[in-house]
Amino acid sequence: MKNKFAFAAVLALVCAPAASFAGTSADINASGQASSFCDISNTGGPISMSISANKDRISGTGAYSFTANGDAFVSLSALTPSAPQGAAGFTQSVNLANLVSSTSSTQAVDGAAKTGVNKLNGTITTEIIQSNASELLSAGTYSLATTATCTAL
Amino acid sequence: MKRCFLLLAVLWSGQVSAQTVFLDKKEYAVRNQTARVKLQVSHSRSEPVSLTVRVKGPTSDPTKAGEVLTEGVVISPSSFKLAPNKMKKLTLSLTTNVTQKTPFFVCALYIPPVERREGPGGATSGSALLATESCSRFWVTP
Repeated sequence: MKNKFAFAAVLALVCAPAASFAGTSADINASGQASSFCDISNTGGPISMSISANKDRISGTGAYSFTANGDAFVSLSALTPSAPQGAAGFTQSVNLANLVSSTSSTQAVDGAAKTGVNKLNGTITTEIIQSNASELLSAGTYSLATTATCTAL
Repeated sequence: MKRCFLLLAVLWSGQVSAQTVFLDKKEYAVRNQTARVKLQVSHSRSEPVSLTVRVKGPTSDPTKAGEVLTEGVVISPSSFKLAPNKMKKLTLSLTTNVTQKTPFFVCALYIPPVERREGPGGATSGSALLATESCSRFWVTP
């Protein structure tokens, strides 16, 4: 009787479904390409400028966000200011902290290249400053426009 | 798989609200004087916005974009309203007679609505308008 049980056990082992002994395998090959990109955004919304206590400038602050997954840089187009008719002399500036800064109303300005992966949040500062002997900014409404461009290389 | 990478890139860039250009490759060959470029554009602002896509030509510096090209460029569509976190597929046909490998730049431009604020009673005040543009460089080979 004991031998019969032993024989049955060996037979069950040998005749068990092959799948229960077989290992499983699958070849998985994945490949892909991540496009290089950059983006720059004015995350703070419209920037409104108000006059300073010294009465010599109007300024405003905003916020930007910059991301890039490879080499990139940011530039500012020539600044386009507008001022009240007959306004005394002034200069203008736009500064994206740690990225690019410009005072030019005639030509674009490039910031330093950013290498590798970057994710930056920073402050935008805009100013219109008097440049006249009275050191006062003429009364009225001013505006300042520019385009911040990021270029992924 | 490429779509997965693009989706990941969108999700990653989704933490900000900028527009982004994705090219399917970095180099395009000219055939019959035309380079055909496939690209996708997305943004992650909170609401649908209008975007304009344009192409800038080369300069003597291969890292710097030149003037916006107005001739020899067909972008379909070049201006559109896009919902947040959606990919817009575009095709760009660039007619050129380059004789050597030449860089071009494709850009997505967002111009925010103008909000002029008049100061009360002639008070001295102002506003600054910051448009933003994202460009990607691609190379065209003869």
